[in-house]
Amino acid sequence: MLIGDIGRVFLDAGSVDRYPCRVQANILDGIDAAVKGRFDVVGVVMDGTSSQLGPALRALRKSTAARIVLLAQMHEEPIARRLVADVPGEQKLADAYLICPALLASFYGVAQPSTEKESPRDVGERSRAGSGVPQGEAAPAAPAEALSAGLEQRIRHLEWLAMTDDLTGLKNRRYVWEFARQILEQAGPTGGRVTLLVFDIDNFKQYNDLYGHAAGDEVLRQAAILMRRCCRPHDVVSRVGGDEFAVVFWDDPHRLAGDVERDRRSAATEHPREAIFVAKRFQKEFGDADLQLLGPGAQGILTISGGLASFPRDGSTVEQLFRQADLALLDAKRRGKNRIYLVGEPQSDIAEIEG
Amino acid sequence: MVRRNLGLDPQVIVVGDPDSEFAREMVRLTREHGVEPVPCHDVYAAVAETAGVRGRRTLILGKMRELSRENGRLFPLAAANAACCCCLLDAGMTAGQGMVFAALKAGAAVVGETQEVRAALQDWLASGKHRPRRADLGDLQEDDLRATEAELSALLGQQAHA
Repeated sequence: MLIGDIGRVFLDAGSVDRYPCRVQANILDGIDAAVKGRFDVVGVVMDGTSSQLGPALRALRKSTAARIVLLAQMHEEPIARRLVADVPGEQKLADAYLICPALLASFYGVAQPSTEKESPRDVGERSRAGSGVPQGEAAPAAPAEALSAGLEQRIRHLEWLAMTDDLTGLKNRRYVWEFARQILEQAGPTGGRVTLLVFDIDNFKQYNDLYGHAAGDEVLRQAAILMRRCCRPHDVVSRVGGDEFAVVFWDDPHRLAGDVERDRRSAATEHPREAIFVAKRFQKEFGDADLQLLGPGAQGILTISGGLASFPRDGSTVEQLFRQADLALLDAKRRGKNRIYLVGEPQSDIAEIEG
Repeated sequence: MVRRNLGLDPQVIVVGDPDSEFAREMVRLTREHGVEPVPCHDVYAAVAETAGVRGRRTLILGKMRELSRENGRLFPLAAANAACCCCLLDAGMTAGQGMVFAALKAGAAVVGETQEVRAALQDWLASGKHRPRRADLGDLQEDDLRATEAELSALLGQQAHA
């Protein structure tokens, strides 16, 4: 069974009829069906049920012995990871998660085939939890469980490879574009704030040629570590090119819900203050970094140039924001480098902005 | 209070934080009428409970704000499971009048005070129905429901619309 708006999470949602699957648009209908039917796997679209996700999953867990798989968009991964984590003394609300958008075949890979049953231990635990769930057949399948865990690990690893820059460990271009697309889709109706920073290391090619590629690679790794340290935990830091990086600053998902109209007006007119603060801090830290690989006296010689573009003021799509930020970056290069420009009229160097 | 035997023992599901004043009051009210209440912390647990007790007379008691979550899907699900709903409107509730109408149309009782919950509970225990109730809510037209909008607005503490 799939619960929620599957069109948001599956690229081939239109083909769902080809799979042995019931679809429920609403979580309450899903809970009702779960109690009355027997399902091996239940997939729950996180988006749309997130506000009451915990209570909904708790009720679903008590209603069915099925494996529960969360269908999470990229920015929901931290929440999904917490929900599937093993916590001593507590029952997991979900068994696995899948980062979306994905294909239905991937879901069935994570969900596992219909031969999977609960182990006697799991059935016993559900009984002790007072779930009232009808007892299923005892699972034979230590082998099936091992296959499931192994396959899930493999899928996680493939996801990691597809989304990660292997040199720096940051997210890659593919990930940040898709992430930004999803976030902008959410931010529009809710008045969320999104700011894109694009920057590169000034004269990087020369350093590479002078000190060697190993030193150049280490500079990139150090830049990644510094930027990661300067950013907030939920901001997405990525390497999108040779020495080019992009950072998506966005509203903290756990911020208190405010007036949507007030947020929308604020997003449209204010400077992206948090992003400017982080970018300034990074500039300073990068300049202060002791990069011994570049030889004595290397401290302070590396600088960055960048461009900051904000949604919705500077663009309403990923393409528009990247284009605006890139143009600001180019302008920063032409005007002497070692500066980050805020897209605007006239373009402002963030060093001149207070705060 | 004499309960008529209409088959299996009736069940009253009280939806809400068990430590809240509302839930404690509803539990007390239910026990006062000789029925052991089933506490459910939220509408999700209530749906699971309702779906799991087929053939048993069930009344779901809760605040409108909680019962109307998820686009009010509880109300048609409860009706499909032959359960009745009784919703207490929160004071000053300014949103969801459409949800109130949807609840009424699905056969739920919508009340403004705890005393009215008592009356609805007694009515349900006596007859398996709740009041006020029209004979055939399924045929209600939107115009019929709008006729009560002024009453609801007054109940919710709002100015009546012109």
